[in-house]
Amino acid sequence: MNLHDIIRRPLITEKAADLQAQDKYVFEVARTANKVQVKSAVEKAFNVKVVDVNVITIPGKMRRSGRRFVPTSSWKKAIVKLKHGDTITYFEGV
Amino acid sequence: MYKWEKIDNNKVNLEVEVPKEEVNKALDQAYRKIVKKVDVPGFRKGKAPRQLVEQHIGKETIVDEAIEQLFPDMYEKALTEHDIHPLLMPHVHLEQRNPPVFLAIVPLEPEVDLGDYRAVRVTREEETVTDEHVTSAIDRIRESQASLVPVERPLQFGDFAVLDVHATIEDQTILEHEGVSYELVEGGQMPVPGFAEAIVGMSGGESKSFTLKMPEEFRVPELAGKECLCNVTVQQARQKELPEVGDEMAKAFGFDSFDLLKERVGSDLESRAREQARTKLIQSALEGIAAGGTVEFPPALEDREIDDLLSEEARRYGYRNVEDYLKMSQRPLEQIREDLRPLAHTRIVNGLILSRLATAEGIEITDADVDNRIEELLGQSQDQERMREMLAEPQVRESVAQRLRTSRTLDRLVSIVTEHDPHGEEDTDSGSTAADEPEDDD
Repeated sequence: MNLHDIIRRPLITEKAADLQAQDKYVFEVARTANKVQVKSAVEKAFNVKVVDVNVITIPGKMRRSGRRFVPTSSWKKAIVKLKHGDTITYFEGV
Repeated sequence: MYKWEKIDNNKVNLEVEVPKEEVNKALDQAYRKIVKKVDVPGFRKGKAPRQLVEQHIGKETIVDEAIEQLFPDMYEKALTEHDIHPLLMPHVHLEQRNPPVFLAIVPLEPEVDLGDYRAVRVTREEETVTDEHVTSAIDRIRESQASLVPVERPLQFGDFAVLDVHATIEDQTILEHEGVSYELVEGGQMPVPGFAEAIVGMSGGESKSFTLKMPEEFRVPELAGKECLCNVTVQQARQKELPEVGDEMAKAFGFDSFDLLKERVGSDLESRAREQARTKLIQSALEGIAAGGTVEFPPALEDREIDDLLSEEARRYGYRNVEDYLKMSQRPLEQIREDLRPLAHTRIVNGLILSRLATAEGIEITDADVDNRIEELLGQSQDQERMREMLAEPQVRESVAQRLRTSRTLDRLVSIVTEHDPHGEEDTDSGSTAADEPEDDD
Protein backbone atom coordinates (compact mmCIF):
# COMPACT_ATOMS: atom_id res chain seq x y z
CA MET A 1 0.00 0.00 0.00
CA ASN A 2 1.15 3.47 -0.90
CA LEU A 3 1.87 5.68 2.06
CA HIS A 4 -0.64 8.27 0.93
CA ASP A 5 -3.29 5.60 0.87
CA ILE A 6 -2.51 4.77 4.46
CA ILE A 7 -2.59 8.32 5.82
CA ARG A 8 -5.87 9.81 4.66
CA ARG A 9 -5.75 13.17 6.42
CA PRO A 10 -4.58 14.76 9.62
CA LEU A 11 -7.26 15.35 12.23
CA ILE A 12 -7.12 18.94 13.24
CA THR A 13 -9.31 19.44 16.24
CA GLU A 14 -9.08 21.00 19.63
CA LYS A 15 -8.27 17.66 21.15
CA ALA A 16 -5.57 16.94 18.55
CA ALA A 17 -4.11 20.40 19.15
CA ASP A 18 -3.85 19.64 22.85
CA LEU A 19 -2.14 16.32 22.16
CA GLN A 20 0.55 18.06 20.16
CA ALA A 21 1.97 19.22 23.46
CA GLN A 22 2.80 15.57 24.14
CA ASP A 23 4.39 15.13 20.69
CA LYS A 24 1.29 13.24 19.57
CA TYR A 25 -0.25 13.75 16.15
CA VAL A 26 -3.60 12.39 15.07
CA PHE A 27 -4.53 11.06 11.63
CA GLU A 28 -7.33 9.33 9.93
CA VAL A 29 -5.82 6.21 8.36
CA ALA A 30 -6.99 3.42 6.09
CA ARG A 31 -9.21 0.89 7.85
CA THR A 32 -6.99 -1.91 6.68
CA ALA A 33 -3.77 -0.35 7.91
CA ASN A 34 -2.06 -1.64 11.03
CA LYS A 35 0.21 0.12 13.50
CA VAL A 36 3.38 -0.95 11.74
CA GLN A 37 2.21 0.40 8.41
CA VAL A 38 1.10 3.70 9.99
CA LYS A 39 4.46 4.08 11.69
CA SER A 40 6.46 3.62 8.52
CA ALA A 41 4.09 5.80 6.49
CA VAL A 42 4.30 8.69 8.91
CA GLU A 43 8.08 8.39 9.18
CA LYS A 44 8.44 8.49 5.42
CA ALA A 45 5.84 11.18 4.71
CA PHE A 46 6.99 13.69 7.29
CA ASN A 47 10.59 12.65 7.80
CA VAL A 48 10.22 12.14 11.54
CA LYS A 49 10.90 9.36 14.05
CA VAL A 50 7.80 7.61 15.43
CA VAL A 51 8.09 6.10 18.88
CA ASP A 52 4.55 4.86 19.44
CA VAL A 53 1.29 4.37 17.57
CA ASN A 54 -2.15 3.86 19.03
CA VAL A 55 -5.03 3.02 16.75
CA ILE A 56 -8.76 3.09 17.39
CA THR A 57 -11.56 2.10 15.10
CA ILE A 58 -14.26 4.70 15.36
CA PRO A 59 -17.56 3.01 14.66
CA GLY A 60 -19.87 4.60 12.15
CA LYS A 61 -22.85 6.44 13.51
CA MET A 62 -26.48 5.97 12.67
CA ARG A 63 -27.69 8.80 10.52
CA ARG A 64 -31.13 9.29 9.05
CA SER A 65 -31.50 9.14 5.35
CA GLY A 66 -35.12 9.82 4.55
CA ARG A 67 -37.25 7.38 6.49
CA ARG A 68 -34.47 4.96 7.31
CA PHE A 69 -31.49 5.04 9.61
CA VAL A 70 -28.31 4.10 7.80
CA PRO A 71 -24.91 3.75 9.36
CA THR A 72 -22.02 5.97 8.28
CA SER A 73 -18.76 4.21 7.60
CA SER A 74 -16.51 3.26 10.43
CA TRP A 75 -12.97 4.61 10.21
CA LYS A 76 -9.64 4.20 11.87
CA LYS A 77 -7.89 6.85 13.89
CA ALA A 78 -4.21 6.68 14.63
CA ILE A 79 -2.49 8.64 17.37
CA VAL A 80 1.18 8.79 16.55
CA LYS A 81 3.74 9.74 19.15
CA LEU A 82 6.91 11.25 17.69
CA LYS A 83 10.37 11.36 19.10
CA HIS A 84 10.56 14.42 21.31
CA GLY A 85 11.64 17.38 19.22
CA ASP A 86 10.22 16.17 15.92
CA THR A 87 7.28 18.12 14.56
CA ILE A 88 4.86 17.89 11.74
CA THR A 89 3.45 20.89 9.94
CA TYR A 90 0.36 20.23 7.94
CA PHE A 91 0.31 21.64 4.49
CA GLU A 92 -3.16 20.89 3.42
CA GLY A 93 -5.59 23.59 4.30
CA VAL A 94 -8.03 23.40 7.11
CA MET B 1 9.01 56.98 14.93
CA TYR B 2 6.92 59.95 13.92
CA LYS B 3 7.42 62.11 10.97
CA TRP B 4 5.31 65.06 10.30
CA GLU B 5 5.10 67.66 7.69
CA LYS B 6 2.90 70.63 7.48
CA ILE B 7 1.12 71.11 4.22
CA ASP B 8 -1.04 73.97 3.11
CA ASN B 9 -4.56 74.73 4.23
CA ASN B 10 -3.65 73.92 7.75
CA LYS B 11 -3.28 70.25 7.36
CA VAL B 12 -0.54 68.12 8.77
CA ASN B 13 0.69 64.97 7.18
CA LEU B 14 1.55 62.80 10.09
CA GLU B 15 3.52 59.68 9.45
CA VAL B 16 3.43 57.27 12.32
CA GLU B 17 5.63 54.24 12.39
CA VAL B 18 4.88 51.69 15.05
CA PRO B 19 7.72 49.85 16.80
CA LYS B 20 7.90 46.05 16.53
CA GLU B 21 7.09 45.10 20.11
CA GLU B 22 4.03 47.32 20.08
CA VAL B 23 2.92 45.65 16.90
CA ASN B 24 3.33 42.18 18.37
CA LYS B 25 1.42 43.12 21.45
CA ALA B 26 -1.37 44.51 19.36
CA LEU B 27 -1.39 41.46 17.12
CA ASP B 28 -1.70 39.23 20.13
CA GLN B 29 -4.60 41.25 21.45
CA ALA B 30 -6.22 41.24 18.06
CA TYR B 31 -5.93 37.47 17.84
CA ARG B 32 -7.48 37.04 21.22
CA LYS B 33 -10.36 39.25 20.23
CA ILE B 34 -10.93 37.67 16.86
CA VAL B 35 -10.57 34.05 17.95
CA LYS B 36 -13.75 34.40 19.97
CA LYS B 37 -15.70 35.10 16.85
CA VAL B 38 -14.30 32.77 14.21
CA ASP B 39 -15.55 29.27 13.72
CA VAL B 40 -12.74 26.85 12.88
CA PRO B 41 -14.02 23.29 12.30
CA GLY B 42 -12.84 20.98 15.01
CA PHE B 43 -12.55 23.74 17.59
CA ARG B 44 -14.93 25.43 19.92
CA LYS B 45 -15.15 29.19 19.53
CA GLY B 46 -12.21 30.89 21.12
CA LYS B 47 -10.16 27.71 21.36
CA ALA B 48 -8.44 27.58 17.98
CA PRO B 49 -4.69 28.10 17.98
CA ARG B 50 -3.41 31.33 16.47
CA GLN B 51 -1.75 29.67 13.52
CA LEU B 52 -4.96 27.98 12.51
CA VAL B 53 -6.96 31.16 12.88
CA GLU B 54 -4.48 32.95 10.69
CA GLN B 55 -4.76 30.25 8.06
CA HIS B 56 -8.49 30.21 8.34
CA ILE B 57 -9.38 33.86 8.04
CA GLY B 58 -6.18 35.22 6.61
CA LYS B 59 -3.43 37.01 8.41
CA GLU B 60 -4.60 40.36 7.06
CA THR B 61 -7.72 40.31 9.14
CA ILE B 62 -5.76 40.06 12.34
CA VAL B 63 -3.30 42.70 11.21
CA ASP B 64 -6.14 45.06 10.36
CA GLU B 65 -7.74 44.51 13.71
CA ALA B 66 -4.43 45.15 15.41
CA ILE B 67 -3.96 48.35 13.47
CA GLU B 68 -7.39 49.52 14.41
CA GLN B 69 -6.50 49.06 18.05
CA LEU B 70 -3.07 50.49 17.62
CA PHE B 71 -3.84 53.64 15.74
CA PRO B 72 -5.78 55.75 18.24
CA ASP B 73 -3.05 55.26 20.82
CA MET B 74 -0.21 56.02 18.47
CA TYR B 75 -2.09 58.98 17.07
CA GLU B 76 -2.60 60.43 20.52
CA LYS B 77 1.06 59.97 21.34
CA ALA B 78 2.21 61.50 18.10
CA LEU B 79 0.00 64.50 18.71
CA THR B 80 1.31 65.13 22.20
CA GLU B 81 4.85 64.64 21.10
CA HIS B 82 4.59 67.25 18.39
CA ASP B 83 2.11 69.47 20.13
CA ILE B 84 -0.37 69.27 17.33
CA HIS B 85 -3.93 70.29 18.04
CA PRO B 86 -6.28 68.72 15.57
CA LEU B 87 -9.51 70.47 14.82
CA LEU B 88 -11.45 67.57 13.40
CA MET B 89 -11.03 63.87 12.96
CA PRO B 90 -8.03 63.00 10.81
CA HIS B 91 -8.20 61.35 7.48
CA VAL B 92 -6.14 58.22 7.96
CA HIS B 93 -4.49 56.16 5.37
CA LEU B 94 -2.44 53.04 5.98
CA GLU B 95 0.74 53.53 4.05
CA GLN B 96 2.43 50.26 4.80
CA ARG B 97 1.37 47.12 6.57
CA ASN B 98 4.50 45.59 7.91
CA PRO B 99 5.72 47.34 9.93
CA PRO B 100 2.63 49.53 9.96
CA VAL B 101 3.09 53.10 8.85
CA PHE B 102 0.15 55.45 9.00
CA LEU B 103 -0.32 58.58 7.06
CA ALA B 104 -2.81 60.83 8.76
CA ILE B 105 -3.99 64.08 7.29
CA VAL B 106 -4.88 66.13 10.31
CA PRO B 107 -6.94 69.29 9.99
CA LEU B 108 -5.50 71.91 12.28
CA GLU B 109 -6.91 74.83 14.16
CA PRO B 110 -7.50 77.66 11.76
CA GLU B 111 -4.76 80.17 11.64
CA VAL B 112 -5.95 83.72 11.75
CA ASP B 113 -3.74 86.68 11.32
CA LEU B 114 -5.74 89.83 11.60
CA GLY B 115 -2.96 91.90 10.17
CA ASP B 116 -3.04 95.53 11.11
CA TYR B 117 -6.73 95.44 11.78
CA ARG B 118 -6.69 98.63 13.79
CA ALA B 119 -5.65 100.47 10.67
CA VAL B 120 -8.73 99.38 8.78
CA ARG B 121 -11.03 102.33 8.27
CA VAL B 122 -14.46 102.20 6.84
CA THR B 123 -16.61 105.22 6.29
CA ARG B 124 -20.09 104.90 7.49
CA GLU B 125 -22.45 105.45 4.62
CA GLU B 126 -25.70 106.25 6.17
CA GLU B 127 -28.57 107.53 4.19
CA THR B 128 -29.89 110.52 6.04
CA VAL B 129 -33.59 110.47 6.48
CA THR B 130 -34.98 113.62 4.88
CA ASP B 131 -38.43 115.10 4.98
CA GLU B 132 -39.00 113.72 1.51
CA HIS B 133 -38.39 110.21 2.74
CA VAL B 134 -40.84 110.71 5.54
CA THR B 135 -43.41 112.23 3.22
CA SER B 136 -43.16 109.44 0.71
CA ALA B 137 -43.39 106.88 3.46
CA ILE B 138 -46.52 108.57 4.72
CA ASP B 139 -47.85 108.67 1.18
CA ARG B 140 -47.40 104.95 0.95
CA ILE B 141 -49.33 104.56 4.15
CA ARG B 142 -52.11 106.76 2.81
CA GLU B 143 -52.16 104.83 -0.45
CA SER B 144 -52.76 101.65 1.47
CA GLN B 145 -55.67 103.29 3.24
CA ALA B 146 -57.21 104.84 0.08
CA SER B 147 -60.90 104.52 -0.54
CA LEU B 148 -62.87 104.95 -3.77
CA VAL B 149 -65.45 107.68 -3.63
CA PRO B 150 -68.11 108.25 -6.33
CA VAL B 151 -67.82 111.66 -8.03
CA GLU B 152 -70.23 113.59 -10.19
CA ARG B 153 -67.88 114.77 -12.92
CA PRO B 154 -66.37 113.56 -16.18
CA LEU B 155 -63.72 110.87 -15.87
CA GLN B 156 -60.15 111.94 -15.51
CA PHE B 157 -56.94 110.00 -15.63
CA GLY B 158 -56.29 108.45 -12.29
CA ASP B 159 -59.98 107.90 -11.66
CA PHE B 160 -61.68 104.56 -11.36
CA ALA B 161 -64.69 103.87 -13.53
CA VAL B 162 -67.37 101.27 -13.06
CA LEU B 163 -68.00 100.10 -16.61
CA ASP B 164 -70.16 97.83 -18.70
CA VAL B 165 -67.99 96.79 -21.59
CA HIS B 166 -68.81 94.87 -24.70
CA ALA B 167 -66.05 94.59 -27.26
CA THR B 168 -66.14 92.70 -30.55
CA ILE B 169 -63.70 92.04 -33.32
CA GLU B 170 -65.32 91.03 -36.61
CA ASP B 171 -68.57 90.20 -34.79
CA GLN B 172 -66.75 88.00 -32.38
CA THR B 173 -67.12 88.99 -28.75
CA ILE B 174 -63.80 89.27 -27.07
CA LEU B 175 -64.75 91.12 -23.95
CA GLU B 176 -68.02 91.28 -22.07
CA HIS B 177 -68.22 92.63 -18.56
CA GLU B 178 -70.75 94.37 -16.43
CA GLY B 179 -69.85 96.62 -13.56
CA VAL B 180 -66.11 96.16 -13.65
CA SER B 181 -63.87 98.61 -11.89
CA TYR B 182 -61.32 100.09 -14.25
CA GLU B 183 -58.49 102.43 -13.43
CA LEU B 184 -57.81 105.05 -16.04
CA VAL B 185 -54.09 105.11 -16.56
CA GLU B 186 -52.75 107.48 -19.13
CA GLY B 187 -51.04 105.46 -21.86
CA GLY B 188 -52.35 102.23 -20.29
CA GLN B 189 -52.18 99.07 -22.36
CA MET B 190 -55.14 97.28 -20.85
CA PRO B 191 -57.33 95.98 -22.26
CA VAL B 192 -56.41 97.64 -25.56
CA PRO B 193 -54.08 100.60 -25.95
CA GLY B 194 -56.10 103.76 -26.25
CA PHE B 195 -59.01 102.47 -24.21
CA ALA B 196 -58.42 104.79 -21.29
CA GLU B 197 -57.99 107.75 -23.61
CA ALA B 198 -61.26 106.86 -25.34
CA ILE B 199 -63.36 106.91 -22.22
CA VAL B 200 -61.76 109.84 -20.49
CA GLY B 201 -64.21 112.70 -20.22
CA MET B 202 -67.27 110.47 -20.04
CA SER B 203 -69.61 110.93 -17.14
CA GLY B 204 -71.72 108.53 -15.16
CA GLY B 205 -74.60 107.04 -17.15
CA GLU B 206 -73.06 107.94 -20.51
CA SER B 207 -72.58 105.36 -23.28
CA LYS B 208 -70.17 105.43 -26.16
CA SER B 209 -69.12 103.29 -29.10
CA PHE B 210 -65.69 103.53 -30.59
CA THR B 211 -63.22 101.47 -32.55
CA LEU B 212 -59.65 100.82 -31.59
CA LYS B 213 -56.96 99.22 -33.61
CA MET B 214 -55.43 96.18 -31.99
CA PRO B 215 -51.64 96.40 -31.78
CA GLU B 216 -49.64 94.49 -34.39
CA GLU B 217 -47.88 92.43 -31.76
CA PHE B 218 -50.95 91.35 -29.85
CA ARG B 219 -50.49 88.25 -27.77
CA VAL B 220 -53.30 86.52 -29.67
CA PRO B 221 -52.00 86.53 -33.25
CA GLU B 222 -55.48 86.10 -34.84
CA LEU B 223 -56.61 89.41 -33.36
CA ALA B 224 -53.45 91.41 -33.99
CA GLY B 225 -53.88 94.54 -36.07
CA LYS B 226 -57.68 94.21 -36.35
CA GLU B 227 -60.33 96.77 -35.58
CA CYS B 228 -62.02 96.38 -32.26
CA LEU B 229 -65.51 97.79 -31.74
CA CYS B 230 -66.16 98.76 -28.17
CA ASN B 231 -69.48 99.60 -26.56
CA VAL B 232 -68.93 101.17 -23.22
CA THR B 233 -71.36 102.43 -20.62
CA VAL B 234 -69.99 104.27 -17.67
CA GLN B 235 -72.07 103.45 -14.63
CA GLN B 236 -70.19 105.57 -12.22
CA ALA B 237 -67.06 107.61 -11.98
CA ARG B 238 -65.04 107.10 -8.86
CA GLN B 239 -62.14 108.94 -7.45
CA LYS B 240 -59.43 107.50 -5.36
CA GLU B 241 -59.47 109.39 -2.13
CA LEU B 242 -56.51 109.24 0.14
CA PRO B 243 -57.10 109.76 3.82
CA GLU B 244 -56.63 113.35 4.76
CA VAL B 245 -53.24 114.08 6.26
CA GLY B 246 -54.01 114.91 9.83
CA ASP B 247 -54.84 113.66 13.27
CA GLU B 248 -57.81 111.72 11.90
CA MET B 249 -55.58 109.50 9.86
CA ALA B 250 -53.10 109.11 12.69
CA LYS B 251 -55.86 107.85 14.94
CA ALA B 252 -56.59 105.03 12.50
CA PHE B 253 -53.08 103.80 13.26
CA GLY B 254 -53.38 104.28 16.97
CA PHE B 255 -51.52 107.56 17.29
CA ASP B 256 -52.93 110.55 19.09
CA SER B 257 -51.85 113.09 16.56
CA PHE B 258 -50.37 113.29 13.12
CA ASP B 259 -47.14 114.68 14.48
CA LEU B 260 -46.67 111.60 16.59
CA LEU B 261 -47.23 109.41 13.58
CA LYS B 262 -44.81 111.41 11.57
CA GLU B 263 -42.26 111.22 14.33
CA ARG B 264 -42.67 107.50 14.55
CA VAL B 265 -42.32 107.01 10.82
CA GLY B 266 -39.23 109.18 10.86
CA SER B 267 -37.61 107.30 13.69
CA ASP B 268 -38.48 103.96 12.10
CA LEU B 269 -36.83 105.03 8.90
CA GLU B 270 -33.85 106.33 10.78
CA SER B 271 -33.32 103.18 12.76
CA ARG B 272 -33.68 101.11 9.65
CA ALA B 273 -31.14 103.26 7.85
CA ARG B 274 -28.85 103.01 10.85
CA GLU B 275 -29.21 99.25 10.95
CA GLN B 276 -28.50 98.96 7.25
CA ALA B 277 -25.51 101.25 7.49
CA ARG B 278 -24.16 99.25 10.38
CA THR B 279 -24.55 95.94 8.59
CA LYS B 280 -22.85 97.36 5.55
CA LEU B 281 -20.13 98.86 7.68
CA ILE B 282 -19.45 95.57 9.44
CA GLN B 283 -19.46 93.79 6.12
CA SER B 284 -16.86 96.07 4.62
CA ALA B 285 -14.86 96.11 7.84
CA LEU B 286 -14.64 92.33 7.83
CA GLU B 287 -13.74 92.38 4.18
CA GLY B 288 -11.06 94.94 4.93
CA ILE B 289 -9.57 92.89 7.71
CA ALA B 290 -9.71 89.74 5.63
CA ALA B 291 -7.89 91.53 2.82
CA GLY B 292 -5.21 92.84 5.18
CA GLY B 293 -4.67 89.65 7.11
CA THR B 294 -4.67 85.97 6.42
CA VAL B 295 -7.19 83.39 7.41
CA GLU B 296 -6.26 79.80 6.85
CA PHE B 297 -8.42 76.87 7.70
CA PRO B 298 -8.62 73.24 6.67
CA PRO B 299 -11.08 72.46 3.88
CA ALA B 300 -12.79 69.97 6.14
CA LEU B 301 -14.15 72.92 8.07
CA GLU B 302 -15.70 74.32 4.95
CA ASP B 303 -17.39 71.03 4.20
CA ARG B 304 -18.82 70.95 7.66
CA GLU B 305 -20.10 74.49 7.30
CA ILE B 306 -21.75 73.50 4.04
CA ASP B 307 -23.46 70.66 5.85
CA ASP B 308 -24.77 73.13 8.38
CA LEU B 309 -25.96 75.52 5.72
CA LEU B 310 -27.65 72.71 3.91
CA SER B 311 -29.63 71.57 6.90
CA GLU B 312 -30.49 75.17 7.67
CA GLU B 313 -31.79 75.60 4.15
CA ALA B 314 -33.76 72.39 4.38
CA ARG B 315 -35.34 73.54 7.59
CA ARG B 316 -36.12 76.93 6.15
CA TYR B 317 -38.08 75.35 3.34
CA GLY B 318 -39.93 73.28 5.89
CA TYR B 319 -38.33 69.91 5.43
CA ARG B 320 -37.56 67.75 8.36
CA ASN B 321 -34.15 66.68 7.14
CA VAL B 322 -31.73 67.21 4.31
CA GLU B 323 -32.70 63.97 2.57
CA ASP B 324 -36.30 65.10 2.11
CA TYR B 325 -35.14 68.45 0.86
CA LEU B 326 -32.82 66.86 -1.67
CA LYS B 327 -35.60 64.64 -2.91
CA MET B 328 -37.78 67.65 -3.64
CA SER B 329 -35.07 69.80 -5.10
CA GLN B 330 -34.27 69.32 -8.74
CA ARG B 331 -30.57 69.93 -8.41
CA PRO B 332 -28.01 67.29 -7.55
CA LEU B 333 -26.43 67.41 -4.12
CA GLU B 334 -23.00 68.16 -5.52
CA GLN B 335 -24.21 71.27 -7.28
CA ILE B 336 -26.07 72.57 -4.26
CA ARG B 337 -22.97 72.06 -2.18
CA GLU B 338 -20.83 73.93 -4.68
CA ASP B 339 -23.33 76.78 -4.75
CA LEU B 340 -23.14 77.05 -0.99
CA ARG B 341 -19.36 76.95 -0.92
CA PRO B 342 -18.65 80.69 -1.32
CA LEU B 343 -21.18 81.53 1.37
CA ALA B 344 -19.72 78.92 3.67
CA HIS B 345 -16.29 80.34 3.02
CA THR B 346 -17.32 83.87 3.92
CA ARG B 347 -19.14 82.71 7.00
CA ILE B 348 -16.12 80.82 8.25
CA VAL B 349 -13.76 83.69 7.49
CA ASN B 350 -16.02 86.19 9.23
CA GLY B 351 -16.58 83.92 12.18
CA LEU B 352 -12.88 83.29 12.59
CA ILE B 353 -12.01 86.95 12.29
CA LEU B 354 -14.60 87.87 14.88
CA SER B 355 -13.53 85.27 17.37
CA ARG B 356 -9.89 86.22 16.88
CA LEU B 357 -10.82 89.85 17.23
CA ALA B 358 -12.60 89.11 20.48
CA THR B 359 -9.44 87.53 21.82
CA ALA B 360 -7.20 90.28 20.50
CA GLU B 361 -9.37 92.93 22.03
CA GLY B 362 -9.75 91.03 25.27
CA ILE B 363 -13.50 90.88 25.09
CA GLU B 364 -14.71 88.59 27.77
CA ILE B 365 -18.13 87.75 28.96
CA THR B 366 -18.46 87.13 32.64
CA ASP B 367 -21.12 85.16 34.43
CA ALA B 368 -22.55 88.41 35.67
CA ASP B 369 -22.90 89.64 32.10
CA VAL B 370 -24.82 86.54 31.20
CA ASP B 371 -27.03 86.94 34.26
CA ASN B 372 -27.83 90.51 33.31
CA ARG B 373 -28.65 89.54 29.79
CA ILE B 374 -30.87 86.72 31.01
CA GLU B 375 -32.74 89.16 33.24
CA GLU B 376 -33.22 91.36 30.21
CA LEU B 377 -34.59 88.48 28.21
CA LEU B 378 -36.86 87.53 31.08
CA GLY B 379 -38.25 91.02 31.13
CA GLN B 380 -39.50 90.58 27.57
CA SER B 381 -41.26 87.29 28.03
CA GLN B 382 -44.70 86.52 29.36
CA ASP B 383 -44.16 83.09 30.79
CA GLN B 384 -41.36 84.02 33.12
CA GLU B 385 -41.19 80.78 35.06
CA ARG B 386 -40.73 78.62 32.02
CA MET B 387 -38.28 81.04 30.46
CA ARG B 388 -36.22 81.07 33.60
CA GLU B 389 -36.05 77.31 33.62
CA MET B 390 -35.08 77.21 29.99
CA LEU B 391 -32.43 79.86 30.39
CA ALA B 392 -30.89 78.03 33.30
CA GLU B 393 -29.81 75.20 30.99
CA PRO B 394 -26.04 75.28 30.59
CA GLN B 395 -26.22 75.11 26.80
CA VAL B 396 -28.63 78.00 26.68
CA ARG B 397 -26.41 80.02 28.98
CA GLU B 398 -23.51 79.17 26.75
CA SER B 399 -25.33 80.36 23.67
CA VAL B 400 -26.45 83.54 25.41
CA ALA B 401 -22.84 84.21 26.34
CA GLN B 402 -21.79 83.44 22.80
CA ARG B 403 -24.25 85.90 21.36
CA LEU B 404 -23.30 88.54 23.85
CA ARG B 405 -19.67 88.08 22.93
CA THR B 406 -20.44 88.39 19.25
CA SER B 407 -22.49 91.53 19.66
CA ARG B 408 -19.84 93.17 21.82
CA THR B 409 -17.18 92.21 19.35
CA LEU B 410 -19.23 93.71 16.58
CA ASP B 411 -19.65 96.90 18.58
CA ARG B 412 -15.93 97.04 19.09
CA LEU B 413 -15.29 96.36 15.45
CA VAL B 414 -17.56 99.20 14.47
CA SER B 415 -15.87 101.60 16.83
CA ILE B 416 -12.42 100.55 15.62
CA VAL B 417 -13.09 101.04 11.96
CA THR B 418 -14.87 104.32 12.50
CA GLU B 419 -12.28 105.45 15.02
CA HIS B 420 -14.86 106.09 17.60
CA ASP B 421 -14.33 106.02 21.25
CA PRO B 422 -15.23 102.46 22.29
CA HIS B 423 -17.86 103.73 24.66
CA GLY B 424 -19.73 106.00 22.30
CA GLU B 425 -21.21 103.22 20.26
CA GLU B 426 -24.68 104.44 19.55
CA ASP B 427 -23.36 107.53 17.87
CA THR B 428 -24.73 107.77 14.39
CA ASP B 429 -22.84 110.45 12.49
CA SER B 430 -20.68 109.20 9.75
CA GLY B 431 -17.10 109.86 8.90
CA SER B 432 -16.12 111.43 12.18
CA THR B 433 -12.37 111.60 12.31
CA ALA B 434 -11.47 111.72 15.93
CA ALA B 435 -7.74 112.16 16.23
CA ASP B 436 -7.17 110.02 19.29
CA GLU B 437 -6.52 106.31 18.90
CA PRO B 438 -9.05 103.99 20.46
CA GLU B 439 -8.08 102.90 23.92
CA ASP B 440 -6.80 99.39 24.45
CA ASP B 441 -8.48 98.73 27.72
CA ASP B 442 -12.17 98.18 28.02
